[in-house]
Amino acid sequence: MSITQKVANIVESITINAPASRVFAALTQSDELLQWWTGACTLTSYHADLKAGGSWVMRGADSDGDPFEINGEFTLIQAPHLIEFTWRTLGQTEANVPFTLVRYALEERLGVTTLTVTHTGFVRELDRQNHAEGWKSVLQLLNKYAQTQTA
Amino acid sequence: MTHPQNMVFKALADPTRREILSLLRSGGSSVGDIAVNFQMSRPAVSKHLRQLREAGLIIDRPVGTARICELNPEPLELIDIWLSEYRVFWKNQLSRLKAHVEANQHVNHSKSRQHR
Repeated sequence: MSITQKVANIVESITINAPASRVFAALTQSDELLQWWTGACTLTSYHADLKAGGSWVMRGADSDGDPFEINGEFTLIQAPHLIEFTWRTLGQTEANVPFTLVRYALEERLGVTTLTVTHTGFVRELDRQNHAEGWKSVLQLLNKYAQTQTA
Repeated sequence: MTHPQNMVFKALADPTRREILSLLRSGGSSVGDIAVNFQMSRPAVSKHLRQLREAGLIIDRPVGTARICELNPEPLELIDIWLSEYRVFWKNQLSRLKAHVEANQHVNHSKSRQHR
């Protein structure tokens, strides 16, 4: 895995004992999402126009009780296998955080679904001016720094 | 109020500033020596240096009458922390989703679909 991927991408998977259509519904239907999403934060609303180009927004309160809003746009929907959307957190301390990209990939086998969430774009979005070399060295620095921290 | 994380992101978002950091990887350098690498005015370079300094990414060290800019990678840790927070967040969300779906196997969504 390259340094860039290691630093810049988040990939998490889980196996769920249910068909993909069932998982897809839980990921996209607001009445269901409101039930399971809430954890450290409290989700109060979720609105989604579930089609490519459609927008989505979720609002709630974080663990300190401060309101937050996360929004974005769907870029790709292939029910029940793929959902891709942009993601931007609007909060008091994160106003400058740019859009990133989240992708849910669902793979069903014998009634069991493996869901993989990939969250990318942390670097790409900052690099709108497409200056890869500069970033490469910054990422190398970060990687080196991370190694000294774990050593 | 400016969040330190945002200052680091803002500082890194500019290609010139990233290039300055890149130059400083091989060691400290005076403002003049940094400026010759860029086709922009010295005040413009100084402005970039100021933003890097404010984000804590470079530190000035006086050497005689000159000022040497040195790289300080420590604030980059903020980006690492930011990403780790997301990693933990998604791990938690996925386990919550799993618990929810496995406990509600037979939810009927035909009704809500019709209204779309």
